[in-house]
Amino acid sequence: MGGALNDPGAIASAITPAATHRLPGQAGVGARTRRPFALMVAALAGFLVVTWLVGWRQGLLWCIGVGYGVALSAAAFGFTTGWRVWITQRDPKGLWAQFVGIAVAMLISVPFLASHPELEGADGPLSISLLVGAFVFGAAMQVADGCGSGTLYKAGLGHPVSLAVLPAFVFGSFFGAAQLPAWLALGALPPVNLVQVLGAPWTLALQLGALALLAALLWRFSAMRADRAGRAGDVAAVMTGVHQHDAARRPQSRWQGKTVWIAAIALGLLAAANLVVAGQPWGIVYGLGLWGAKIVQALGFDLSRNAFWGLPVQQAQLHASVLADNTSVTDIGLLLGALIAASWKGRACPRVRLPWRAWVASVLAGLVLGYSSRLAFGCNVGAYFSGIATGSLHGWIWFACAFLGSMLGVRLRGRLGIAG
Amino acid sequence: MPLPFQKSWPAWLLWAVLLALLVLDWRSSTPHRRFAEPPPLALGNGPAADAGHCSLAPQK
Repeated sequence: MGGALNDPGAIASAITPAATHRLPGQAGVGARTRRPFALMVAALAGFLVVTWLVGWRQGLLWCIGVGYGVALSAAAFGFTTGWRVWITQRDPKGLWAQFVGIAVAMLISVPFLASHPELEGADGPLSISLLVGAFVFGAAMQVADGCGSGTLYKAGLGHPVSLAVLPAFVFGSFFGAAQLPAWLALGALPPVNLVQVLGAPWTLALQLGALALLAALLWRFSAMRADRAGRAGDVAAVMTGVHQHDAARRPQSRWQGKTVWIAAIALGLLAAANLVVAGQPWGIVYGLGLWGAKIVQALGFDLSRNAFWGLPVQQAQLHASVLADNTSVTDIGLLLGALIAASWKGRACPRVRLPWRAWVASVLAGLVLGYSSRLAFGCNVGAYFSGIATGSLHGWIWFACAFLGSMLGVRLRGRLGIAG
Repeated sequence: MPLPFQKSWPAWLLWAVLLALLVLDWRSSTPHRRFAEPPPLALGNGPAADAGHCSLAPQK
């Protein structure tokens, strides 16, 4: 999917990859292969350190996290972008790739969950906070141009906007978790996991059927738009006398080549491995909120009386190293994996030129992203990807609410002058 | 000719801050009991008792 960052209409207007500014003769191949090699050594060292200090389980999760980062960064696999290009251009490829990743993870995870009750799905409660949080998250992720995984992998590869968004995301997650019990008091139903209700075969049939139906609808809408564009082109050709081939008229997908499909399958396999190793699905924002809580605690604030962070299980997490937390280890591994893949492709540390109000809006959106993701019991990874892949009903509700929010967020981008 | 650091300082900054925080966190945390660690795979053994996840509702 090398085309993603080279798409002239999308990112290049605001972002200039540093690698494209090499001076003549300075370059290329040596620098591009030396640096990832050093980074791969760093990843191996990270595995050895984490395994030595904390244990094999955390070491394996580190490797899975690095794999997430490589897959996301190499393919510029963006949940946010996939939704936005569908909303604005009816390009379905990004959403299709997401469905493929979820389907791969589901095909492995659901049978495991049915036969191994010690494994946990991403089962979030069906609460008012889920509806509000997912809608707000969907809007904010379009303004910040990154969801949970997107912000993390782009920060890892040195994208200045995501580096500014990440601290806001961390503290937003901390505040959201701190106030989650109050939001739950507004009303909540217990989690519903389809594997427990219907069993593995029916869960797979129902959910894979739903994803296939959605994919077909996306294709249908995309084809209808292409037909309309074609008819408009015919009229223009008659009036101007300039004729285009059909292929030239058809808008090119943002994602070219096989990379996005390989990344989707890799993410699905890694998510299933995450479940087998950690006993719980891939998640991102719990770890970020824990980092924020640890920083707040280190600054002298007492969190023991907070309704969330004061719970015994959270206090245990707060007093242990973050390396002992599953989500934190995969998050840190993801940051490094993203840098490895971006350095390999010469895309690390892109240069960004944005108006100041776009920077302010991005940071504020990061705060909202973190807060709302805790209310919604996960982001695009913990709720949408892992929720659906492990048969949790809250994943589907999250998807619907966040997609509606994204439709609003895309319009907000236009108002803020960052539509391109 | 710009040095690599001049082009890639955002990534260096992130990792410098992250590693510093990790070291500080490790030094201030309860010592980890290495020989009481869970088995490598949760399959057949279950997740760690205090494992957190974004989808989990707060439980006492």
